[in-house]
Amino acid sequence: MSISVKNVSKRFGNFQALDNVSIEVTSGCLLALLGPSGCGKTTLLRIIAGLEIPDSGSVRYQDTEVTHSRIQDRNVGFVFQHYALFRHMSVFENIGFALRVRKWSQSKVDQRVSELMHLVRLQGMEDRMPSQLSGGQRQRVALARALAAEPKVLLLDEPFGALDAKVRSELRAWLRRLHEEIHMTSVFVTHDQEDAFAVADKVVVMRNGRIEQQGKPVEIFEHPANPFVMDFLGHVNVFHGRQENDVPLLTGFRGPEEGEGSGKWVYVRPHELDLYLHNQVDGSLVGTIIQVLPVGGIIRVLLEDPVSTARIQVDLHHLRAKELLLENGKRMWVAPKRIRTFEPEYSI
Amino acid sequence: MDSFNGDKLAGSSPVPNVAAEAASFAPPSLRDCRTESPFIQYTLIILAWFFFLGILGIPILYLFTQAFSGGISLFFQSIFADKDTLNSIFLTLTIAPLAVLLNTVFGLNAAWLLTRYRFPGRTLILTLIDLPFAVSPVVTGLCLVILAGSRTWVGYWLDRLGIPFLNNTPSMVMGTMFVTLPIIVRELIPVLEEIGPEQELAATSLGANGTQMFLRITLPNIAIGLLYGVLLCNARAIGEFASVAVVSGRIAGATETMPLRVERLFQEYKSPADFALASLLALMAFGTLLAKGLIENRLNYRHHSVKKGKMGQ
Repeated sequence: MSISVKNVSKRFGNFQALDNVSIEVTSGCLLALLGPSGCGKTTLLRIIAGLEIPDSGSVRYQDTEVTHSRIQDRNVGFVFQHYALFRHMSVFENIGFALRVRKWSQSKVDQRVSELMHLVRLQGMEDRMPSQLSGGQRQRVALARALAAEPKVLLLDEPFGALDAKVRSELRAWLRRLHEEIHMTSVFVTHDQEDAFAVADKVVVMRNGRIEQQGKPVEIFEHPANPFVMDFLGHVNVFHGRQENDVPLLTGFRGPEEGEGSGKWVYVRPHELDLYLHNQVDGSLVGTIIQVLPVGGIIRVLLEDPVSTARIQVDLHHLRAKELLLENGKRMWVAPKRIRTFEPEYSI
Repeated sequence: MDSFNGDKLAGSSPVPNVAAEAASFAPPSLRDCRTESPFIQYTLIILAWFFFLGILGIPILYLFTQAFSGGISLFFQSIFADKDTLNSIFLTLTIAPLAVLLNTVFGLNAAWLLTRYRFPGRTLILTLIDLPFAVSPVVTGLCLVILAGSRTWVGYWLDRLGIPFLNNTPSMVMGTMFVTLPIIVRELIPVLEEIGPEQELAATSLGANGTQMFLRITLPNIAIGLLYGVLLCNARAIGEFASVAVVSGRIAGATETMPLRVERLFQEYKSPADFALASLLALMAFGTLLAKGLIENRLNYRHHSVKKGKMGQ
């Protein structure tokens, strides 16, 4: 079942939550709405679910117009941010709720709930109360409950928001596998780019109620449409520079006072920079090491330009770092392997 | 969780001095933090007991001694042999449950509306809902008398339609309702705020209609708070005097509730009948308080077990 959102706008008092937003979710696709808080991603999800009604625009499921139909009539599975499990009901009763209100017979409820318990790997926990479950288990109960009545669409609001890092990455992988098993059209909201890139088929990056870019995760990461997307998807260094006959050149650091939109900048990710002991590459800049941090498989080096006090971050492979004998206070030459430029944004 | 703490306790100290260990690991109690001198401490404790006994305890004790001064048989005789007294008990047992029932329906609606929706005038309603606590019940009674008097259109229509109101049960129920109106709403609002709208939204998203949502999700979550409010409302409704006194016309054997009857018996020097009925009224209140206490205990236990469950993860 595909979802089609066309020219949707929503205003809360003086706050424009969504400004003429359109997205297409193809059938069986897992789409992530990504953006900083207040960008309108949750409002968009709630409009798709039927928890909010847009001021203008339309929402269609396949060929059915659902803009004004109520959530209980849409047959969507909605997983709430803090799961909203029914505190006074056991895991079994929580998962079976949608079936009970549909007046299924006891034997059919038993059968369906045990199927779902198996799907979310919670067998044997039927009689537990929500307060006796861990965060990850609660999340899976919420998911099983949302899937119980075989919804046509699954919507998740910050599904990994309340979990610690380890459980989070496990659940991401699990959700991805689950999606491959059931192939239900799904939309989830997140402010964490790792969530979006690890799980989604398609990512929509939003800011201030508008869509900045949408596409496959790789496309977006490799070809960000503008500096905002580039910055949002990970750390980025900004320099003066240019591309000359396919050779990327840096011509100066961006000082702390130099603003965002003034002039043409080049953008370089930390892993796209290299360090040298001498001025051996064209278009390199000199800086002083102020910090060397081993982060997982890479070595993160922070350098400062003594003149402008601009700071940059370089991620090196640990073998390369060993070669260079990095230490605080050492002067190094910074050269890019690749740079990106964006057309300046015109604003009134 | 408990056993985990226990292990830690046992493992952390090689000295097998259980008492010292327990003392060093116990959370600081009020006793440890207190800085007042013993003189002030005991003065305050004695004052508390003095007020409790002097203002509440001794008068009530005296009431019971007076009620039973002629023996138990006279006590029962003074209550059950008097037709007007029996009638007043019956009337109170009619009016209080009716007022409580109507206020429960109103309280559930109002509390749900006020917590789940933002609408113009919401703050005004939240403020005015406490009005009955602030206004003297006599004023309430007078308002009803003026409103339903023969010169107003309300009075005119009540008369035309032949609905008995003043000097009759409906006005007494309404007076009692007015006075006890805020109690259930005030109990329910914090409970509804605390559980939040998410579970209700979740139920709706799973296909539940309004009735299913209310009966299966909202009601079980607020049940104890609601029961608590109902009991408190009931206690207050049984004892309501002033507003009922004004609207009822105080017709002996017809529109006299228990509190009104107690006052009449007292004015007519019918002792110990007045004390007997008063002590019955007091016993009803004690019963309500006892039920409230039991529910409070269960509530604490439930909160405690929920917390333990959360910590256990």
